[in-house]
Amino acid sequence: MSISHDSRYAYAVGRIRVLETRLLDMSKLGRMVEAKSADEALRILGETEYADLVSRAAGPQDYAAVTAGEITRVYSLMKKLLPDEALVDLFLIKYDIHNMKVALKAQFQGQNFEHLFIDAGLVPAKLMPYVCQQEKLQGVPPEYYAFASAAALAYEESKDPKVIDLVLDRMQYSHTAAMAEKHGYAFLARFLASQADLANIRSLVRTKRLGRGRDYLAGNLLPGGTVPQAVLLEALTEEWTAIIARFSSSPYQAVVEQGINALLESRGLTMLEKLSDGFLAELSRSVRFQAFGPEPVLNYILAKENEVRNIRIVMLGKLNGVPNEEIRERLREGYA
Amino acid sequence: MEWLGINAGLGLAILGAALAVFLGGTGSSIGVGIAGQTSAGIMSEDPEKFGKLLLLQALPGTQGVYGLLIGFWILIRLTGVEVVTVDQGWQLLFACLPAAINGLMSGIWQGKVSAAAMNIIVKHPDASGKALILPAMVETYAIFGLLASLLLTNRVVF
Repeated sequence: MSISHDSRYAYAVGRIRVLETRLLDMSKLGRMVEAKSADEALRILGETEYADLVSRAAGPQDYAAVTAGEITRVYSLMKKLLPDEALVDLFLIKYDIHNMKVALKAQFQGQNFEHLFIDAGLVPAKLMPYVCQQEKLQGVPPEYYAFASAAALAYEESKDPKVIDLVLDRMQYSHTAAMAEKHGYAFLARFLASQADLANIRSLVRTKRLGRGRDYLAGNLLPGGTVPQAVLLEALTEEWTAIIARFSSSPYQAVVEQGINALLESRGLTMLEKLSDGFLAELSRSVRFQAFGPEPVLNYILAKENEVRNIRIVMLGKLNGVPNEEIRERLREGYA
Repeated sequence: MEWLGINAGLGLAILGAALAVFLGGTGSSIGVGIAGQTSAGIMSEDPEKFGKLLLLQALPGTQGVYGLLIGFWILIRLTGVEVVTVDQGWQLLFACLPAAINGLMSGIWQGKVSAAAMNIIVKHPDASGKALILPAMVETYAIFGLLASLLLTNRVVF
């Protein structure tokens, strides 16, 4: 007779349902793609939820500020809506890790990369250099200090700044997955596992294409996926057809098969990337109709992140005069 | 039942009436509460939906009314009765249980279905009639509980 604690999300889900109707659909994005100029594309964006931010933008070249403003607005709105802020915090870890990469590289290369900070994380971006120098600050998750020192250590050994990215990417995945597990967000944990799997599959394909060895792939693999790392490493020495066969009974069958076929037809890795994003969108869409629980909220945040990504693709394409067809091909399908 | 005092029968009958009011009301307040949170969420973004949401939110409130009805009905039946025997007291207590327990459970579940149905209205405002049918189905069982309690209490002879 217990009242499921999921009804705690009843208010948030109601509000999300309305917000979902305001997401940019493909027809709106299509209009932006068809726009004659970047100015016009921005004007079309101004007819949507983005009106306020667009009116404050100086021009189309300011699109990054518009999208950054929107995503910060969404995160802070979600924090207000949800009974537990921890859910939103999980989405903010990636910004902290990004800022940590920037801060560490700046520290080691003695340059100022402050303009690369994205101030959307849990820790204010300007504090990140202090975290990297192991200065104990209030409100900084204790794990971050361990991440920073592990990345610094790896850099000291190899003197290759790319190692910082690899080490921190791995930490980000395992930390986010551990937090999702700890707070009992079963769906998010599943989503993250699929995300890791797909990233690993992409690494496998890229490594094989570049003709690099096991060690290179092993350095790029992310933890937390359902496909064992040994399987991925073994697949590296196989033919493309054998790799496709290997995944034939996994949920990633279509992604792997179509992605590799596109690659073999010399259409590059874009298709594989698009397919894996599509897989994640589909996974997220599958739970959006639940009336209770955090899933619809998760789907909305993911949908918003995807929308912002699409807007960036369109605006960047428009500003650089990329043909409409090419922009369209790069767009990711929506979550709503 | 000497230890319960001479009026134990009356006490049992009142316990029955109180349970019907209390459990029915609890079910309704939880149900209306869940549906209310969802409609508050929707209305904070789209206040125009108030009219369509109101009925869906009110629907889980009926269980409390049914419970109250049974409570009053017991009081009416007891008016003018000089002595309620322990037997009659037990009978009335048990007769109240269908409305009480059905009210508790169906109220909670109806609230959940109402909240879910509100999500339909946001996506498809024209389908509000259809959306109303879904929680109305749950109502059936609250009505069965009310009916059973009414018939049962009427069978108790003084």
